Amino acid sequence: MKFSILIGIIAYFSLALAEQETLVLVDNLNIKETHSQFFKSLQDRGYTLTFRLADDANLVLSKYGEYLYKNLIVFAPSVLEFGGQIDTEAITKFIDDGGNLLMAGNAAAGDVYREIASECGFEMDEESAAVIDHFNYDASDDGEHTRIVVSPKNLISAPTIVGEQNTQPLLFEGTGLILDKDNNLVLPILIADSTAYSYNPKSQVKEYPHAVGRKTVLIAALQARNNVRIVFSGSLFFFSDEAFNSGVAKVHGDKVTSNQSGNKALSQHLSAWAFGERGRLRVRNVDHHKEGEKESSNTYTITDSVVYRIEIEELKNGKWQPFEATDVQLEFVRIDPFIRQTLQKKPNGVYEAVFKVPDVWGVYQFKVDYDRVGYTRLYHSTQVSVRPLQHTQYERFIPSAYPYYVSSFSMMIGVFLFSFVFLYYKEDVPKTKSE
Amino acid sequence: MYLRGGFLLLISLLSVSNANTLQGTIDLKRLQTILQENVKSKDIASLYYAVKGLALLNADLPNVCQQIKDFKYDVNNIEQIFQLTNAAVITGCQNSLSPDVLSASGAVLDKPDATIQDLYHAVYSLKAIGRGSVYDKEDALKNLIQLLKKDDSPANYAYVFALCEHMGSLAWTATHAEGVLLAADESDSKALHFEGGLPVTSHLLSTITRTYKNLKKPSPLSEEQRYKFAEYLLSRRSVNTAKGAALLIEAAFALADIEPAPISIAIKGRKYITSEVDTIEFSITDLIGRPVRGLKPDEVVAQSGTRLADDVVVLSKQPLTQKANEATTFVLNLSKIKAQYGLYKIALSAGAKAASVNVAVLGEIQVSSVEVGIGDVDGTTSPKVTTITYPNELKETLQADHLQKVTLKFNVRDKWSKPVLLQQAFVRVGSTSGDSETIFVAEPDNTKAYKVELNVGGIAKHLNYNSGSYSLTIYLGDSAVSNPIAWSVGEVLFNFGKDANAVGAALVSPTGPHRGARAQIAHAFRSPEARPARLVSDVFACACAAPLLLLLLLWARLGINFGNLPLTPSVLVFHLALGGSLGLYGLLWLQLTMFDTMRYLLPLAAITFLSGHRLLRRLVKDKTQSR
Repeated sequence: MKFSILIGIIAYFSLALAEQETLVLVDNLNIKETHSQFFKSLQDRGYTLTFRLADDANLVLSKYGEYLYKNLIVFAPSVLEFGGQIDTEAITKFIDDGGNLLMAGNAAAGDVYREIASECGFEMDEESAAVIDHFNYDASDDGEHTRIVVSPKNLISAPTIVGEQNTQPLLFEGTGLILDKDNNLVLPILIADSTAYSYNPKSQVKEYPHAVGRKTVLIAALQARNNVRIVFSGSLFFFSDEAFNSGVAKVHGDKVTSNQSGNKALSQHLSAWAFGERGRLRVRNVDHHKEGEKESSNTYTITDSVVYRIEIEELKNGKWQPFEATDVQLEFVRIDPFIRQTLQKKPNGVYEAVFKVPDVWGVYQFKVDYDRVGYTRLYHSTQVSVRPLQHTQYERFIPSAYPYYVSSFSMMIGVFLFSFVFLYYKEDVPKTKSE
Repeated sequence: MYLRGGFLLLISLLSVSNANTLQGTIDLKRLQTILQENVKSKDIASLYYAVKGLALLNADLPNVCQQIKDFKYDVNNIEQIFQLTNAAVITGCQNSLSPDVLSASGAVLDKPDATIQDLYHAVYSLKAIGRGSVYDKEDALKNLIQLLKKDDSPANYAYVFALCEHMGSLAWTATHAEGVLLAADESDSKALHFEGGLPVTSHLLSTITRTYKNLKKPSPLSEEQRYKFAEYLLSRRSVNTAKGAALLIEAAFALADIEPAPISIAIKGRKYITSEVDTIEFSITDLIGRPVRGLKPDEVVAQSGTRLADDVVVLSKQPLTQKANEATTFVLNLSKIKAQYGLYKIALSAGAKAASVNVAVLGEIQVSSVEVGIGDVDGTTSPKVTTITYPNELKETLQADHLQKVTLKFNVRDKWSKPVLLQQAFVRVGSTSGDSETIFVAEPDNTKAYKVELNVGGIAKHLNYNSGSYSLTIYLGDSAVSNPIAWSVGEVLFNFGKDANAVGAALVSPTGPHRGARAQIAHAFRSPEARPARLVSDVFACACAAPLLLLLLLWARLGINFGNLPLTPSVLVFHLALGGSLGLYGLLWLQLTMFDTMRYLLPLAAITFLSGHRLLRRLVKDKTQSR
């Protein structure tokens, strides 16, 4: 017993350690220094970063079928082809097998970037195209109006991903993405203003730009069906020390100024989300029983009152803690949902529903499918059967049936009485005749 | 032969002069504030680097003797002792040191497996407290070379060079320095640095430079190397720790002291000119912002200026003027090109160095009016044109249906009313109620007049087929425009005809997973069948009881008797059993199950049968007897 606990503890810690292993692919090791604050914040949060050149010939993601890393950061926009065993296919497989990805490009990013982006459901603009906004550029811009100031209002409203307090303007310099609007798994984390467009800054707009206005996505994310998270930023500059430290001064319009850009806070939130530090849910316990009883059962009778309880936990600061929400829903499904109701929140992350089983019998499932922006998808189903009433469980004394009851009992009483009359009645013999 | 040599030299000179200059300097003031903030640090390393950096900058050193005295340090950590002793020397606080630092350093030197780094720290700690002569030249160098063979990283070379400096073996450094310099890593073919980053790079550059200076030899760094190292240092200028700042200062000073030092040519302040301000200021300095030695003001010339859009050369050989009182600032007057908007590339030379910078000539644009025309798609009727002047809005809401098109025409002019072309001339059609928007690109014709045609039936799909009111906004922008214009023209009511959705109802794509809470579903239970009123069923119940009552009544009228009742036990038994059987049916109705009933009924039925048989026999017997 003790031994198995020990093994459990070891397994837990090794899992926790493995989760922090991160491979960072860079163009040159200088990026380690120009983006030192971002990497330092990751290291402070317990990640082990392995820096490698993106075209290093000895790159491997997995060895003997085991992945060496849980997370992958690609900060190598100028790479033409990855070295070693890494290519688009290997990265896609890494994602399919549960690895998280944070990728940042810029206007010069090559086709490898475009391939990976389209595997993830984003579409990146052509080489040398950058997001331009003649109305919202920063004072430090080089004259092409590509270093744009983005208001935090353009962030997706999902505090799990971007954090709760984003009030500082953001600096962005890089290429634009567009998302397939039929793909529900991709999220536009940060979008540009109406005045922005993505085009080669050196030329006049002759063709319709790849991305225009609010359709230009600056940072996009994907949470795949296996709960893997991908954050794709069009700008590598966004994560740099320069962007973290510099102030913001918009040249036109409302002339927003700020002593510090919001890039640092947002980058940390984004990386924390991407690498699964936040927004992870799990089911701790599920219990259902007939109201008034304690024992759980897997058979219910139609129109029973059922109590369903589910305990949900959220990963917060590295610990599993009770999850707080008001919109967890339970479905009671037989092919189609018969009942869908919002669970009542009880203390300690317990959610409860009390409902009456439908009067249609069959095989049902209790289903909790909690899929919200920024959280991992929580899905739990339990199968139960619902049977019809037994013959003794029907109503006994129906007023409308009294005529029948009375008829049968009156007949029985009649028979009883008649038996006396039939057996013992003595006819009055007409004495006159016989005598 | 001489001629040919001279020619080669010329070519190499030319190629050198084409090498990039730097485009920025290291801001010593910022670094100094970082250092000053760290002087009061509780951390030995921060304090050491802070005072080291401040000493390099010749800044005022605060009195930190008390701090040095109070530091808790680990006697076995030679690096801490090194930092402590050296900080003490720099600030003149040797007296605050406790004597055990001496023994600790000595212990390291006696250790057989000491690393080069430990030796360096120990020797320089001893040197700091004035016992430097302990470690001497003879065997020491051999020993170091042995150690280097084990691990010849640039970091170790830096320590050995520093030790050589202490021992006076400068010649050894001189023979190895060039080899080490070749081992530097190149990033982006722009910058050079050593493995280990800023600390190693800084340490190596400063020791090598110092050694060669002492030897009175020219520096072993080639010009290209100098620029590349300087480029690396520039990329690290955003350091914000005391260590980073001190190392950066040390390396920058080392590079800036080499003759000829790398120079930086950068735009100071504005990167653009407008019609009001037509001068650009350049700062031409060395790496740390000092004036370039030996640069005469008349050597600073703008060699050429070309417009990026069409490669037209607009200026050549225009000298810059040095700004009064600011030796590093040079002013270029660009009044010649201020009327021609666009981006220009200026090739600037300062002495033998050249650099090219991009300068924008910004101008104001103006748009006087826009013509909004609404006409049929097939062009059978002439469109109805409304002209709006900037910056007004449409007075009434225009209407257009799916058989019509909306045309916007406008001219963009510069300050001198000359039509210009822009990078961005977009028309945004945005819903006034929702968030949806679509943007169209206006295209210029030969006369540079911009025009957008919105075919109402065609744009419907971009707007989700939601008929309703839409606002039109014109965006005019360019990288050479100082006043981008966002002009809200007015509102148009689009009617998308039969394809349209009802206003406000958006198309919801049915595919894919749904996020967010869904509508609640309650099960509709089957309603119980209708029942007659209680009164009706009661009346009928009475009616059903009526025959029995009638029977009793009639019997009473007829007058019944039980004259044949024989006095035998079987009468009692039979009737009790019969009554019991009937009563059992009542119990079955109330509570028993069928099987229970059968169980009770079987014996009862047997008794009834037997006693009934007996009774009948008796009755028949009585009858025959009486006859």
